[in-house]
Amino acid sequence: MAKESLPPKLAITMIGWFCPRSLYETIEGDLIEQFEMDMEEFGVKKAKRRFLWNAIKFFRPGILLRNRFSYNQIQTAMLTHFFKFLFRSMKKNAAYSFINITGLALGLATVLLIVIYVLDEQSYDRFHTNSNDMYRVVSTIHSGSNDLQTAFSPTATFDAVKLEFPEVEFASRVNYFNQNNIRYSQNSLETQGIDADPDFLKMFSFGFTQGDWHTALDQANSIVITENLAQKLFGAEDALNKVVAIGTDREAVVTGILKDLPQNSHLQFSFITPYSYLIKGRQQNYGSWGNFGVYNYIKLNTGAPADKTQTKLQEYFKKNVKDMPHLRELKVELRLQPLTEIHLGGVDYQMERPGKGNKQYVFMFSILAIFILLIGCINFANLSTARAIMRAKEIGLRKTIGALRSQLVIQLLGESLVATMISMIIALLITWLLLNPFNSLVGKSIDLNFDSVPVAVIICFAATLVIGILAGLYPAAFLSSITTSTLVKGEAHGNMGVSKFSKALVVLQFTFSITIIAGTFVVYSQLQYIRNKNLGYQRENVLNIHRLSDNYKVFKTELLKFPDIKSVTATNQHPADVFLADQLEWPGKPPGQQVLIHNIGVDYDFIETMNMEMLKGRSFSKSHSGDSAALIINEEAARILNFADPIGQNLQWGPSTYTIIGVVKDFHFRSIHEKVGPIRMHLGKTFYRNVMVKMKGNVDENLKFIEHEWKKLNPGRTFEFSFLDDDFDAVYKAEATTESIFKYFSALAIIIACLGLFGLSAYTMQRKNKEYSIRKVFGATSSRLFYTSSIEHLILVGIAFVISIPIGHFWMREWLNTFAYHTDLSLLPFALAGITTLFIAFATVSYQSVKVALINPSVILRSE
Amino acid sequence: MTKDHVGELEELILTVVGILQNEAYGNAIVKEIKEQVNRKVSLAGVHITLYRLEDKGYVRSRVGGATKLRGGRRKRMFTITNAGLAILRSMNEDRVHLWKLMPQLK
Repeated sequence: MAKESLPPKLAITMIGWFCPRSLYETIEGDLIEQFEMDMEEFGVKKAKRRFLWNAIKFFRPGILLRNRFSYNQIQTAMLTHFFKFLFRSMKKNAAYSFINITGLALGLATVLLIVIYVLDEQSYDRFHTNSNDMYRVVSTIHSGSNDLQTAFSPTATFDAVKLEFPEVEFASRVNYFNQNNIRYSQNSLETQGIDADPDFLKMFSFGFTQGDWHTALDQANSIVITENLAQKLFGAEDALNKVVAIGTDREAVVTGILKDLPQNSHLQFSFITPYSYLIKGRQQNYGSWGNFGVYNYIKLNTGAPADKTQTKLQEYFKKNVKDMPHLRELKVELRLQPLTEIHLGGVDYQMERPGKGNKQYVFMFSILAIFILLIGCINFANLSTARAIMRAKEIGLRKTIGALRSQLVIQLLGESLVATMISMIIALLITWLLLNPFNSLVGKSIDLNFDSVPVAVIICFAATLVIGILAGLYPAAFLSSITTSTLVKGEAHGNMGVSKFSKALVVLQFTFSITIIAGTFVVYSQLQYIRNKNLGYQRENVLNIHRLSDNYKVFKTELLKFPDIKSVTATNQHPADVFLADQLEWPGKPPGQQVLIHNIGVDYDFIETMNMEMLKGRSFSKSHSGDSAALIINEEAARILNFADPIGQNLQWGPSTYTIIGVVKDFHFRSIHEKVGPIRMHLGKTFYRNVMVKMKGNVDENLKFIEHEWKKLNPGRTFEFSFLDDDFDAVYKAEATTESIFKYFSALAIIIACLGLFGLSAYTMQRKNKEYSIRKVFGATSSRLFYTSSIEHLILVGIAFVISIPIGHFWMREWLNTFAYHTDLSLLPFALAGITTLFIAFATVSYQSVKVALINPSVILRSE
Repeated sequence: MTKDHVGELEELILTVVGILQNEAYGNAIVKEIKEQVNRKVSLAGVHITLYRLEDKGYVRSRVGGATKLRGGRRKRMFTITNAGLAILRSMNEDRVHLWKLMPQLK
């Protein structure tokens, strides 16, 4: 036979892999014999091929399944019994298993929800294809004592960048105006829209479902609507090219339909109308560098550096205001804010749309998530250890019948993994169930949509694996190392498991819990403070109608005929959210000082309806015809103006001169987060938006009447209203959310901490059974034992309390300082938190302590 | 209790094991089948069938001496057991019985 011709080595190696050990030698032999015969008959090449082919044919279940995956007979038996014992032990220790799994599941579910939240927050505005090159121009106006940061920028910016900046590929102004009324045949809706330039549709990736986005905003009388709006206005009818009515005097042709906006877009609107229409109709100060009145969005050429453009813009601004004296003195900085930074950016800009994310929260929640996960896992590990030690006898027995250490490790790890997997499944279920309540809690509408599912599943699976292994490793490694005799004899005590580490952990858990509970109390008291604080105007029993009625004067007169209606007035902005503001000019103003003053246009009776307090002078009155050029200022404004007597003084406002007729007591016209600034009120004449009605008596009756009158004068318009106190509460929604979140986290933290304490105490009691029995024999009373064992654990809580005070105090102080007006931070919340926690901890520990106290020494000591 | 039986290939290979007496192993069986009934069976198929027959107790195997021939690998030789003989006999009886009942074959 030809010695050099050997069958292909590859094939032989391959066979070695999948053939069972007891068979492969003879299989190889037969194949080689065949090969040798083939060589004679067919030649080397073909023989080799046939060999390979014959070898491959052995790759079948008949051969593969004859492999034994375990080493020897005992190991196989172990494997079979593994699951049997696993479930049996889980059933036996049902209570522990339940607590353990539930605790971990809770922790996991919380983390999952937080992760979903954080991911969502991070994802804002990233879905636009060009998001990396898109920026919003924002402005910082240095004005004397405070800097004004605004999301607006000069209206002249648009033309400038379009014409003179080649690196700007697209630019658009965006203007949100009041809610507008849109009508088509029978359907009428109040909804929010924006005015934008044609480039808007090119920069932002809001998908178009119908129409051509290249040209949709070119004509001044066009409108682009969302699918949702189309549905509401047109129903099943095709909306494209139909004509809708906007507001009172305008019509537009539907030139495009947009996909509904995702919730993670900072821009939210139902329709877009071209900016060109706006300029055509209104007398705004067009192309002005001094009017910070619009949002400017730009897209730079791909990869173009933003800082260059920013500097250029800044220079451009300076150049253009050189000839305008009052602007020249303004120290203004224009900045290109990256689109993706808008939602979570650190600076809170004025004029920001509602719904801005809070970076602090995102940060806080991320930390919370990690923390809860850590605590949950370590809890899990601790409890597993405690439980495993109680199974010491069983483990010793297994070792006796021949279990290798590796097998034990695998068994314990396996149990841990199974428990973790069950926890994960429960956690996923909980998350799915709680998603909607969670959404309402944080004011979002996050969807578990299907693109994120594969990634999420992989992450969950990996996390389960990691947690299961890590948590199981400790008890596994630890227990399997103990010698058999020790375990079976039941001498399993000493310093096992419960080291300083476990104790430190419990302290940590309780520190965390106490801090959160204290935090909850603080948040609650701050909210109460806000709710009860005197705003400077009346909010109870005041109805806010969201739209000015036609023939307002008639409306007012008719309403006042009703006895329960005390007063009616109107304003051009919501009194709790005034945003219109300009520079304040006054004779004798120090040069270079810039002061921003808000302004609000009101009807007669405003002061009276809102029950405000006049400090000096008088309110607007019909008998004074000159009141159309009159102003009422607040205390703060008066303080800034520093006139000896402000009444009668003249102020220049834009092109007109106004006279101050009164000073009103400071009132909160913006969020309590801000210090009350200066504000001036003037008679708004026709640009009103809200009607305020003060009433008494039966609310429903009044409402019916008012609605009736409204409908008489405004046929076909929806009557939308709210109550002022509700509006006010809505402004503090974020804080209310914080309060709720804190409440839930408190409960969660306490549950998890108590779980940890429970496990720890159960374990300690077990361990010290003998010690206590001996003590009893020597005369210790049951109550004394109870006392001792409880104290041992409650001390941990005490330590936690002490640690939590400085930490909690620091954070709460930081939070309260975000409010210009807040309650004092005393030790009361901490004391309350400490006592509550102590109480709950005591309840947890007492269960075990009672068992200790009732020990029958003879039972314990008998097992010697 | 229903009668035991084996599949067609199993019967064939079992019979050939019986024919080859003590010299029955993979390659020999393949060769014998080719010669006797002109059928190509694969080495893998033969092996697997043999193991199955052994599981059922119709053949027993032993590992023979190594020769330089097969790259030094030993051979596994199979011999038929009494049970194997019995089942072949029983199956054959059944076949003959059925044949006798078929009109065309009379």
